[in-house]
Parts: sequence; C-alpha cells; structure tokens
Amino acid sequence: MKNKKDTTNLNENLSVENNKAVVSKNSVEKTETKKLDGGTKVKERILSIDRFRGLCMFAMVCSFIFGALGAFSFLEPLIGHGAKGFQVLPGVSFADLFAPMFIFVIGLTMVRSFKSREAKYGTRMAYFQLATRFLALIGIGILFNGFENGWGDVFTGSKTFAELSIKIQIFAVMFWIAIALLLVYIVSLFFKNEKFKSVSLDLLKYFLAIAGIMAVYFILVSTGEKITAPVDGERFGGWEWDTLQNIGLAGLLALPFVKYDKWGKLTIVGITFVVLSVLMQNGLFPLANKILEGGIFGGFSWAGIMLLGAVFAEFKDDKFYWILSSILLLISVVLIISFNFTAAKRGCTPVYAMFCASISSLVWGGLNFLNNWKPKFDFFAIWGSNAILTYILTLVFVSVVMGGLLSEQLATLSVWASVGIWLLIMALFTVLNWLLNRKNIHIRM
Amino acid sequence: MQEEVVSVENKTLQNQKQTEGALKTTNRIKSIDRFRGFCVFAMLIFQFLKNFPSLGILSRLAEHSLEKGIVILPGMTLADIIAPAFIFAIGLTFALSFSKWQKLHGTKMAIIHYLERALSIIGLGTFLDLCNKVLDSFDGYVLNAFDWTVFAFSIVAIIGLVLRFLSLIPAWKNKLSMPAEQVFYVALSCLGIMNIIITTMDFINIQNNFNAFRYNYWVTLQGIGFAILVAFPFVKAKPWVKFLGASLIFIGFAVFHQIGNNREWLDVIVHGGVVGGFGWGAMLIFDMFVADIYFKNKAYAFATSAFFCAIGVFLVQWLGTINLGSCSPTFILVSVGLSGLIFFVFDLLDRFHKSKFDPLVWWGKNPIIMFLVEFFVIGVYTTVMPESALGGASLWLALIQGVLAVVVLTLIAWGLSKSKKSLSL
Repeated sequence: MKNKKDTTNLNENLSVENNKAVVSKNSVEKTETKKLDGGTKVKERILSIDRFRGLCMFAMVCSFIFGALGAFSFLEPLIGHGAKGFQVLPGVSFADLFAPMFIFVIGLTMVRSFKSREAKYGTRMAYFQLATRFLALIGIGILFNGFENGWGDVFTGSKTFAELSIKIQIFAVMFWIAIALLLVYIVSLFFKNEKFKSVSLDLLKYFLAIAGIMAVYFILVSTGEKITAPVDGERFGGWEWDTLQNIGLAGLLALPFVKYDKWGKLTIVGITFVVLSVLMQNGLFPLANKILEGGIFGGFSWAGIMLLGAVFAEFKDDKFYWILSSILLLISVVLIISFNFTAAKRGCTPVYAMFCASISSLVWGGLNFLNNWKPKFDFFAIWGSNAILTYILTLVFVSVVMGGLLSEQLATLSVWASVGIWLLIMALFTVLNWLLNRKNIHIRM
Repeated sequence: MQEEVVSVENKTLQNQKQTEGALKTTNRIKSIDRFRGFCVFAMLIFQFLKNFPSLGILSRLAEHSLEKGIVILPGMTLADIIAPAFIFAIGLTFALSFSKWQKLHGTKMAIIHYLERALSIIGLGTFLDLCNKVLDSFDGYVLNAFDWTVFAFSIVAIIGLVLRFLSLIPAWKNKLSMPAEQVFYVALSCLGIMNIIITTMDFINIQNNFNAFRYNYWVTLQGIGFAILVAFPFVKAKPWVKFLGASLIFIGFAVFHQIGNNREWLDVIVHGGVVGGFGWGAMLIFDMFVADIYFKNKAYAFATSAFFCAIGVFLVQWLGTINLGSCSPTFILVSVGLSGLIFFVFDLLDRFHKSKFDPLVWWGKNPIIMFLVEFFVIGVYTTVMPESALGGASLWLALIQGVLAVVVLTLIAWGLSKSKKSLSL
C-alpha cells in the first residue's frame, strides 16, 4: 500500500527527461534515490534549490564582472560590500546578502548528501567523505591564494619569490602540484583503467584536503597570535582567508550536527548565536572584523547559516517554515535597528547571519512555489547545476584575469564595450552550464 | 403559495442555523475575548496607576512620552501598543460580527448599523471630551460655540440613553425601544460627524499656522471610530482585496506623512486626527487581513504578524521612528505585527486555560461600559482625592488603591458579564 502511494506521489511529482528526474513537491526526506516501476533508480532534484543556487552564482559572477569593468562603477552601491554598498541594514549592504545565500543553499542539500552517502558507505565513511570534501574546498581556496598572492606578485614583478612569506611560498608551490595532479586525473579520464582514475582522483582530493588542513592550522595559529601576541614578535600563523575557505570551514563546523534532527540543529544554532552575540558585542568583533568573513570566529556564524539551511530544508512543507523564517527576521531586525547590535559580513556577526538566513529562507520559500513550473530552458536552474565549476572559472578568468592582469585596460573601457564583454561572459557561462546540464554532467567535490 | 411559505421558512431556518454556527464560532474563541479584555484592562488600570509615581515602573506603563515611558522599540513605548491592540481585537471579530448582523437583519440594516456604530464611537469620544471641557470651565476655560453645539447634541444623546433604560420596562419595551435607540444613535452619530469636520479644520489651521486656535476634540475613541469607518468598505472583501486596499491606503498615507512638515503637523492632534485616521484605518484593514488568515491557518497568521512587525522595524531606517502621535507608517506596520504577536500569546495560552475563573473574558465583554465606568468613577475619584493620596502617596497606599481599583473594576466587569448586560453601540 505504501509503495503504491509512493509511486503515485512519484508519478505526480517527477518528470523524467533524458534520464534525468526532476522533483517538485516532495519533502527532503522523500527526495532521496527512489525506484520507478521499471526498477530504474532516479535521483530527484528539487528545482528550487538549483534555481536558488543559480541565482546566487549569477549574482556573484555579475558582481565580479561589474567590479572589474570601470564603466559599471555607477553600480557600486549594488556590488559594494559593507559600508561601500547600499545599506539594507546598518552595516549590511545589498551585495552582502548573496554569499550567505550560497552557504544557505549548501545547507539545504547537506543532510540529503550526508544521508545518501550514509546509505551507500555507512555513517563513519559519510562523515569522512564530507569532511574531506570541506577540507578540499578550503584547500582549493588557499592554493588559489597561493597563486594570486604568491605567483601573482612574482609574475607582475612586485615581489620576488624569496620575499613572499613562508606560508605563501608553501601554498604557491602546492598550487602547481595540485595543477599537476589535476592534469593526471584529466588524463586518467581518457583511459579505461578504473583504478588509475580512482587513484589519481584520490591523490588530488587528499592533496587538496591536506592543503585545507594546513590552511586551518595557519589561521588557527594566527588567530591565537592576534589574541595573545608573542613576546618575541615572531609570527607563525597565516592570515590568508577567502570565500572558499570560509565555505569549507562552515561545512566542517556544521558537519558534527548533520545527524541531529531539525530541533537539535536549531538548538545548536541558537546556543551558538547567543554565545557568539555576547562575545561579539563585548570585544570580539574588532578582531573578527580584521579578516575576510571573520576567519575562525566568523566560521561559527557561517556554520549557523548552513545548519539553518538544513533546518529549513527539513521544514520545507511544514507550516513551521514561515514561522521560523519570520521569527528569525523579526529578532535580527529588532536587534540591529532597536538595540544597535553590530551587523557585518566581515566578521559575520550572528545577527547578520540570522538576517541573511531569514532572507534566504524567504527567497527559497518563494521559489518553492514555482517548483511545478518547469520551462524547457530553466535559466537559473541551469546556472545552479555546476556551481563549483562556475565559481572556479570566475575566480580564474574574471577575478584573476579581468580584475588583476587586465584591470588597467578594463577600467577605462567604454560603456558599450563593457556591456558587450559582460553579455559575452554571461552567455559563455550560460552555454557551458547548459551543455554540461544537458549531458547530465555535474562537477562536484 | 404553500410552497413559497415552506421555502421562506426553510430559508429562515437555514439563516438561523448559519447564525447559530457563526455565534458558536465566535463563542469558541475565548482567546479573542481575553485579548480584548487584556487591552481594556491595560488601558484603564495602567492609566489609573499612572497617578502614583511611588509605584515605579508600574506607574510608567501608561506613559507615551519617550522620556518617562517604557521604550520597547525606536520611538515606541509599551503604552503605545495598547490602542492598536484594541483595534486588532476589533479587526479579529469585525467581519464575523458584520456577517451575523447581515444574516439577522439584512445587508442594508447591517450597513446602517455599522456606520452608525462607528460614528457613535466618535460621538461618544466627543461627549467624553466635552465632559472634560465642562470640568475645565470651572477652572476658567470658556466654552466656545462648538462646545455648546456638542453640549446640545449630548443632551439629546443622554435623553436617548435614558429612554433606552426606560425601554427596559416590559410594558414600554415595544413602543420605546426603537425610537430610543435611534435618538441615541443619531445624536451620537451627529456628534461624530461634527467632530470629523471640526478636527479636519483643526488640521488645516495647523498647516496654515502652527500655533493657530484648535478645537481639540480628538482622542483614542475618535481614532478607533474613524478607523472603523475607513475599514468598513472592506469588511466583506476577500483577504487579498483587504491586503491590496490596506496597502494602497497605507502607501498613500505614508507618502503624505513623509512629505514636508506633515509629520510634525499630524503629531499635534492626538493620533494624527482625521488624516491620521486613514493610517489607523489601514491598520484595521491589515488586522482584518491577518484575522482572515488566522481563521484559516493560525501558523501563517502568526508568521504574517511577525513579518509585519519585522518590516515595520526594518523601515525605521528610511521612514523614521515608530511614532504613535502622527501614526507614522512604521507605527502602522509594527502595531499590526506586534498586536498579532501578543494575540497569539493569548491564543497559545488558550489551550492551558481550563478554569471557569476568567477575569479577562469579563473585562473583554463590555469594553464600552468599562470605558465609561473608568472615565466617570476613576475620573471622579482622582479628581476628588487629595494630592497626598495620589501623587504623594507612599508605596503601600498606592498599592492598596491600585489593588482596590483592579478588584472593584473586575467585580463590575464580572457583574455585567454574569447579568449579560451590555451596552452595544
């Protein structure tokens, strides 16, 4: 009887096209791999999550391009962070909303991802895999820093390799090792030797994870040194931190609670936010504000956003969804406006995290109403299908090439040429994502 | 012909059943009565406690000024939420109550009744203001032509009230009931209409000259009555129409409020006067919208209230503080939301309340009588008592008087509730 009900529900909510199944109205618990009548296994996708992820990626790529092209300087209020941008709340700019939204989206799929791994490989392995994944993410981020802050300076002649800090030197060298391992893995794809493929992938993955561990170690040491400065003045920590490291750290901090039920997660987030708010309001904020996204301290708030994403995913079809969403919005707005609590992306204060999580839940809640609408060309869903690839390509081509190497030329470009470049890059990203999506290729960590 | 009679009988029976159903629905929701009772209790008792500074924070509960009051949000004190909460209580039952009347007496009569009711509330407020002015006249205030006009209509209203009491005598009931009611209603409605005109003139005068002479005939009851008038066209509308209508009125009022010196001018007359009344009207329609959601899904209604409140506080950044005096746009949104949230606390507690001892329900059943009792009994008491027993009273003396006021007024509310006596406007 139950199977019959499941099948009926499935038939109502699935549209199978090119061996790809798309889900509309099922709860997250129901969205795991299911069997169709013919015994074919399909992995259902919640369109609103893809669309939301796509929306975040689209906004992020646009902000990178607008930032690199001087003709778009009039859009500074929209793309500027912190005090530079249009203030949605005191200390929170419009552009500050998108990074937390992306973390929120990761939270939406986190439990699902964990459960599917747990079903396949067992609980311990699921934890290990996800931890490796988040460490590798931190690794990618820090190796990019090694390239950008190390080789970037060496190539432009502003510093010699010897003048770089020892931490940057390490990551700069590791960058090329990672590239070599990536090439080996790409080569392995052309061979029919599964073991070669698997070993080269593992090598790359664990190498990135080791880089991630080193990055976390250096930032921890550095944070400690900021709190209690060494007497002899010698520093061992590293202060390199960026978006990918932040996402990875948030994932790592959220991971231990992934198996908790929604109320457990909510309690953990509540306690974390209360403790962190007390600390931030009493002297921690200036330290957290010194580093992008708050470093280790901010990581707890970002993890809170991720866990809230997981909580909202579990409340998706529950009436409590909107209650939680409205309460978070109300508490954060009242604390910021009425009680002057510090809200900032840089430092990621808990009230900022709460506000962004509530806005994210509103956007996702709205997108959920559109789950039954399935156009053939689903723009944002396409953009959201390969987020990590889009992000890395953006980092390489838009941020490093446009924002770094060609920055002087692009700063003086005319408006029409700038619009042309913007449209061209967006079109290229759209086509790339569309092609990969059509081939059902999803590049993940 | 016989069939027609049967059909009419069936319709009547059906109407009766529907009415009974509606009544049952209203009766079941005790939390609404308790919430209304809480609003009336807070309005009257907090006001009384204001006379005793020795009570400390308790004496500040009814303070609207930011310096003396208990500030809960930017520009808003705890006392500022009581009137909007009472409006919310009206919004919760307005549509149900109108439907009940419509089923019993037909649409036309229901419309006339509710328009008269709204104008009469303004009229009653006008009458109470006149009483204050008459008292002031003993201290040298000279009654003007408008005061005397109000005086004349008030006499007619009092005659109507006396006739209503006389109509309680069984022998006179049939002859006297209807005319007495109409004399009372029409006189109060006339007072209401005159007040709307005179308060509008007050606002125009303020615009021309900030220190110009004002008639000053606008306080809480007038604001509530006018809000009912503004919201009345939407009483039977669908929720989305209510939301749209309220939004349009809100936006129109917000634009007006933010232009030039309008905020300061609106602040001069209590609750923004007639112009501010449109803001209160928008508030009531939003309340009715939340009520519609509440009767369908409590969780969504709670979330809607929280959103209203959050958006209100959020807009403080651009639209200014939450100001009761001018009925600022942020005040409207926060009031709708906060009143809703307070109501939901009562609604949540409802499931734990099993006892028949329910004083807030007694208070909530006769708000108008309780209002009049407070005005005359407490008003006379505070006028007659020496200053040493009020402002100069020690803590124990103040506490005794406060407890006595609570007990006496609760006993009156209980008596009225038990004898099922009520003054319906």
